[in-house]
This record gives sequence, C-alpha cells and structure tokens, in this order.
Amino acid sequence: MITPVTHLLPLTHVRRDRMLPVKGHVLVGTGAHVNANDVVAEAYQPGQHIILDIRRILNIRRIEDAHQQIRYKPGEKVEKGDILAQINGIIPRVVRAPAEGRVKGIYRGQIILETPGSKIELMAGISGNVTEILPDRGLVIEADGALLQGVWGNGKTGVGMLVISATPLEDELTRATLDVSLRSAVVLAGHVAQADTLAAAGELPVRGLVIASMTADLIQTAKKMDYPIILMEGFGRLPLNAAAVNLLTTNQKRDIVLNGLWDAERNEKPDLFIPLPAQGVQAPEYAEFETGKTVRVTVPPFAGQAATLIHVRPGLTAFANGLRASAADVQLESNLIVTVPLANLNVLE
Amino acid sequence: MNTPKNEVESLLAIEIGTIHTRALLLDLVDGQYRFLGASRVSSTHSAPFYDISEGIHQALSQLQEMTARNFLENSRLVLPGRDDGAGIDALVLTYTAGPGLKIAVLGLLEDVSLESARRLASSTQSILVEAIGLNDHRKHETQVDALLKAQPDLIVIAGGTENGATRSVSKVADLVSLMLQLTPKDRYPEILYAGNQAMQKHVTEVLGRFVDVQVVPNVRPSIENEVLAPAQDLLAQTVTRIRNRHLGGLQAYSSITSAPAAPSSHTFGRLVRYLSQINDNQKHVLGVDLGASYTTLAAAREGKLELSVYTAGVGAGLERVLELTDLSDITRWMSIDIPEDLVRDYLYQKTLFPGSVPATVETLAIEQAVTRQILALAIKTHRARYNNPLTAFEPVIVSGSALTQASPGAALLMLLDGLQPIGTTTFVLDPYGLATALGAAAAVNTLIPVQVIETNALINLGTVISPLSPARYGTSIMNLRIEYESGEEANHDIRQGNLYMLPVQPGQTARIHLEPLRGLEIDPLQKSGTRSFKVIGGVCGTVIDARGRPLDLPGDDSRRQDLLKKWENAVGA
Repeated sequence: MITPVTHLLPLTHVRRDRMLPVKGHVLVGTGAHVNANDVVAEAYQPGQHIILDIRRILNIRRIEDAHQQIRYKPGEKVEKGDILAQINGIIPRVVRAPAEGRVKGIYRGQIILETPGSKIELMAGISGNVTEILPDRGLVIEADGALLQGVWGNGKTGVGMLVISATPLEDELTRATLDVSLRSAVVLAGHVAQADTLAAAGELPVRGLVIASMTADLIQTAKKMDYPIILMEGFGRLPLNAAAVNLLTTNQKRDIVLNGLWDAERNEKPDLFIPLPAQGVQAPEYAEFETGKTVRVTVPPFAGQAATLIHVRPGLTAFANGLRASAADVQLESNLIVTVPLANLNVLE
Repeated sequence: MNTPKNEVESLLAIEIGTIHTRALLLDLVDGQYRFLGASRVSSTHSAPFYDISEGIHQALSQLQEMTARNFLENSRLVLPGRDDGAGIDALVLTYTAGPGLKIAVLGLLEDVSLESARRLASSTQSILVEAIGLNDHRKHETQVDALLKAQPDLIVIAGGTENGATRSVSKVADLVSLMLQLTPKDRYPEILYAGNQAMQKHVTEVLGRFVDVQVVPNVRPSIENEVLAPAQDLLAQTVTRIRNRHLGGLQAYSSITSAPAAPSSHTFGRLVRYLSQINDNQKHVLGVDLGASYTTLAAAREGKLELSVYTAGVGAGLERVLELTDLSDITRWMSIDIPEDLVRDYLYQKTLFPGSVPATVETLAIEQAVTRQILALAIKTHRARYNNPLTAFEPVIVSGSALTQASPGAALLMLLDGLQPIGTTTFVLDPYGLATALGAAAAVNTLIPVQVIETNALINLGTVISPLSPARYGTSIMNLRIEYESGEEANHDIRQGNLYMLPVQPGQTARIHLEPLRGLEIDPLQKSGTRSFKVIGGVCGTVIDARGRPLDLPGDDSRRQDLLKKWENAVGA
C-alpha cells in the first residue's frame, strides 16, 4: 500500500511554483537568484465599478445615440468631475465622473468606470534560483536545503532566524516565557494554549512561530496574527516528533522560510525550508508502509509520536472499540510497541 | 483470437471519493445481474499524485486479486470485455473528490425562482457564493462587483414563470453580461439558464457573446410548480465539464465510460428516485450518504426527488460542522465523559487527517456523536430548504463508512438519534457504495439496479417502529405481541422513553400486533386502524423506539449518560 510522505529532510532540492492570483507582470528572469523577501511579480487588483447609464441620465432613446455622446474610450483614465458625456440643447446636460478611475467598458449606453485598485506584490517566499517563467502568471524557483512539512498553517509566510525557545519543548509557551531574546526571530516552541501568548508574540514581535501543537480554540486568533504560525503536529497537546526536533535543533540560528499556506483538499502541507549551501536531490513524494520505516501517529492515542514500523499486519485487525482496520505494529520512541491503524500513520522521510 | 462481446454483461463502477477510490464489479450470473465484489484504496486526486488514475489502477489491481478476474492488460483497462473473460463490457464513473463548485444564483422572487435556483445549486457539491434576486436592493454596480469578487465557476439564472415576467429576466441577463464584460476571458464562468423559456433566445443572445449558455426547461414554470430534474441532469454534466479541468485524469476516463461521468450525489439521487417509483408511495424513500467532506440527502416519493448536498462531513467537512454547532450539541450524545476541549481538539485534528480512523473507545464516541449531529443538521436544513416536514421514511438507504463500518447497533442508534423518524422505517446499510454505482449503472442498463438491489449486497439493519406518545417517561404506552414464523409468541410491555430490540432473525418474518394504551400515534402516514405489522428481521432484529420525538435528553450529565448507555445496551451498540 503506497502512501504520501511527510517530509523531514536534512537536505533536499525543492521546486516551488509562485503564482499571481490574476494576470500581471513577472519582474525577474530565468536564472536570477532571488531572496525569500524579494518581490518577484506584481499584478493590479481592480477597484470597484461604477455604472453610469448615459442613455437614461441624458434621456436618449437609442443606444447608438448615447454612445455618440460619450467622450471617452475604453481604457482611458478619467479624473473626478471630468465630463464623460454631454448632450447639447437649450439647456446642455452633462454626466461627470463621480470618482477618479478608468473607463473599463461602454455597454448598451452605459459607461463602466473602474476606480483605482490595488497592487498585488508576490514575494519569492523562498531563496533560490528562478528556473522557469510562466508569462503574466508567475515563476518557478528551485533551491536546496532542509525541508520540514507541518500539518497546519495560518496562511501567512515569512522568513527569519530560527531560535529555539528557552521553554522546554514539552511545555507550554506563555507570554511570560516569550523573552526579548526572541524578538525578530522565528521561534520554535512546544505548545500554545492561550490567545494571550499569540498576542504577546505579535507584540514582541517575532518573525514567525513554529510550534508542535496548539489548542483548537485558538484557530481564529492564530489566523488573525500577521506573522506566520505553523503547527508541526496539530491540535491538542501533542509532542514534537523526535525527528523534527533533531532536524530543527541542528539548524538553529539559520535563516528559515515559513510557508503557512496550505490546502487540505489537495493534501498540500505548510512547510519550513532552511536554505543550505549544498546540493540536494528531490525526495520521493510517496512510499510503501514497510518494516523499518519511520512513521508518525497522526491522531490519538499516541498522536504526534514518531515510531519505527515493525510490521504490517495481514488482513484486518480488531481494536478494543470494535473497529476492524488494516494496521501495523510500531515501536514508539519509548520502546513501547503498539498497534495502530495504517490510516493513522504518516511515513516520515 | 479474442473478440469483443456485443452485449453488456459485466460492468465496472468506479467512485472517486475524497478519501477513497472504490471499484465495484457487477456481472451476469445465471441470467441475473449480481454484485461480485468491491475494492477500496486511497484516492490520488490530491498531492503528490494530482491524478485519479493511480488510485483507479490500484483499486482495479486489488479487485482483480479479489475476484480472480482480469480487467487490466499492460496496465490498461480491457474495454469492452472479450470472450476469454478478460476485461469488462461497460464502465461508469462517479466522483466526490475535489472542492465544491462556486455557484452564484440569480432569479426574481426570493421564495420562488431564487429559491428553486438555490435548491438546484445545493443538489451538487457546491458553495453558494452569491444570490441576487429582485429583493436585493444593492446598487447595480455593487451587484456586479459582488459577482466579480465571488468568482463563480457557474452562474445559474432562473426567473419568470412560463408566460410570466420577461423584463426582469432581461435585467438579470444584463447584469450577468456586465459582469462577463469585466471578467478576463480565461475566467468566464459556465452559465446555466433555467428561467422563462420565452426569454431563452434573448438570454442566449445577450450572454452568448461571451460563453455558451446551457439552457434547461424552466425550474419554476409556475408559482406552485417546481421542476428540477431536467436542470439537475444538465447541472451534473456541467459540473463534470468543470471538474474535467481540475481533477487530473478525469477527462481521460470520461472518454471511455459507457455513460457520462457524474457527481456521486447525482447518481445516488437517481437510485433513490428509482426506489421511490417501486415502493410504497405513502412515504419518502430516504438516502443518506455521509462522506468525509459532504453529506448527501436524497428524499423521493413517487419519482419526485429532493436532493441536497451539504458541506458537512466526518473529515474535512467537520470544520463546517464545528462552525454551525455548539460543541455541547455534539458532546450531549456521548455516554462517556470527555472534556469539551479534548473533543474540539480531536475533531479539528480529524480535519487535518480526514482518512484517520477512531482507534479508541473515546475517539469512537466522539466520531459517533458528531455523526448524529451531522445527520440532525442535514435533515433540518433539508426540511427547511424543501419546506417538507419529512418525518416518515421507508426505507432509509445509508452509505458512508462512519455509519457502515460501525457495529450494526451503533449504526442504527446513530441514525435514529440523528434523523428521529416517526412511524415504521426500515434501515438498510450500503457498505460498498452500491447505491451510487447502481444509480450510475442505470444509465447503461436499467435492469442492473432492478436486479442487483434485490441481492444481499445491502445489509438490512431492521425495521424500527417509532410511535408518538405524550406519556411521561416510564409509563406503559402499548402492549406488543409478536408472532414468529415458528409459531412462538412473546408479549412486551412498551414503556415511554425506552428502546426495545425484538429478536427477529435476519430474513425471517414475524407479525407484530400492537395494542395502544393511551393517546398513541403509531404511524402518522398509516391508516389509523393499523395495529398489525409484518416485519422482516434485520441484523438488529426489529426495534421499537418508544423514546418520543423530539428526543429529550436530560440536562444533568450523569442522568443523560446513564440514559444513553441504557439505549446503547438495548440495541447492542
């Protein structure tokens, strides 16, 4: 049985698509080296629309006649107060632009005015080399380094130096334990259970928070924070698996890129990337459940614990609650051997 | 030489689910279509595969091993089947995988055409991103901006009864036209017009400059009359066309299926509609398909189908459930004490790992509690959407592993607690997703569902009699006498607030005689004099649910848990 892999890789080669949500301009070329915070593409997000029914306002019967009175063409800019259309007579009547903008279209005697929008800037999000340009849409960046996939992110991205909190990773991070030495750092900690801790991290401020787990009642608060938050194990009080602890500990004080964007529907995970001056190879994205594989238990009991797969049991295994499922015997880091449904295991590699 | 066969004997049904991909084999045995086996593997529509083909290949390989048949040759499906037995004669494909379609609905009157458009949209996996009717008093440009911001995949336009409004429909078309004018070409939504047929030409002319307009018969030909079926058929095709762009491998498989690939909810609904045509027409046939991301309810009577798909399920769909529900509405169904914080954490963790299974007594209790709440939410929303009290069903067909993989007693109790039917109801479990497959197979050969549904691929949980009584808890409400096939008889004193499981063996018949004692309504849709029932035993025998409606759970935690345990013990949950 093959299963997608959760990556915890000391050195790998990654390839990242960076795409604009709407058509725009790519600002770099193939072969360019970019840093995570560089703006690599930009687009224009349209503003609001104002519809001016010239035919009705000027009391013109035919659409064609209304069009003849319109002084602007699609694409042209207008200032507030500009005369857009005029009809002459004993008492000339005019239609003025109610706001600054651009004529987006003229349709059935109506002017569609688009007010100024906003610029969208797309950051590289990862330090590396641009290997492909997708015209008007985005680019592909490739890089080498350590990669760790998490399970939940608050949708934000960021970069900073990785610092491990002085609070033991088994303990809860609180406002009191967020000291000034963590300012402007990406902080690795164990567990967060209070909204006040997230607020305190924002006030410090930190560049990001990587935590093993968080209580689920903080989801909405975490989404509102303007710095990235990534959970490595999930919701509840879950320990950080030993493989991730080792990998992050060996990379502390290095720059780390946090990508808190993810898509559960597409099984796309948030991740941490630590650029390294070495060449990695792309890791396989799926694996078989085989003896000796490092796995992680995803849901209780034993959630968040890494283990070694001893063997996959044949057929279906009956559990204490009456459930029958394909299962494997795994040895936890405590050496305890337990039977876990295969559906509750992730291969880590 | 191996030659293709001319007639459809074997049929392979594939369902691409959010979590699992299934393959089901149906074939002629002794001149009758039979269900021969099913396989189930993880779906591969998402990362890292982004293609359904790998999952299908694995499912077919597994099915080959199970059935000792060969469908694949050099990793390719042999279609049609050959005289040497290799391959299959017909292939059908259904899917639930992928995010819900973003649909905007536009109509005229809020509770007439706009409501019908909403019902149409909700009959497939969708997110209603915008609704605009005559009562929408936002400025014209604000409505255009709202449509632009919503970025719908599909716009449904309804409105105007036949020989009714035309000018208002024209305005709606103008609004959509403006929106399309401002939309980049590569982002044009699909348009489905289901309004006044007199305006069909005008609407297609106005909007046809931008996109092909799909036209279906008016969903609201008159104020009193709603006709959704033709629009639902076209909607299913439109959804598949959109899905073809997003679901890797679907287009390739769609080109070799014997009937158009379709959303699972559509074919599930088709089977339920069929069952309603051959069933006792006093009650609705109810189909419940509880998935990881979506829950489908299909209720049909005399061939008229009410189909609803809710963005609520026991995997990723839990997020929506938790948004709509107080946690206490979930924990009240648990007979063991688990702190609410742990329940919340577990359920959100399940959204991250929707394919995980409950491995402990506690986690199973949480999942079964939330299953009840999803069923309750779904039926409540369905009733409100279709303005149908929908309290009596016969039978109820149940799909979805949260229910079909539970013990029979637990499954029955979840269904009774969640749906709270009144009167006599038979519950049938569909552990292989056969209902969806048969609904799809009906498009190839209408004999297939007729013959396969009669076989033992479905599990009869049993008949449940749920009388209504105003009596107080513990009061005798009726005497029950049961006559078994063997001639033996037994008498029971039925008391308010209790569940009784009568031991009628699966497949055996028995006759139940009821003697109501006071103010008791046995079945609101049966003749008032009916006091005698013939029942066929299911795996839970026959059950009397005398707990009253709506179920009233004690506020005190200890008393409530005791009562829930008592009910669990009564049905062996």
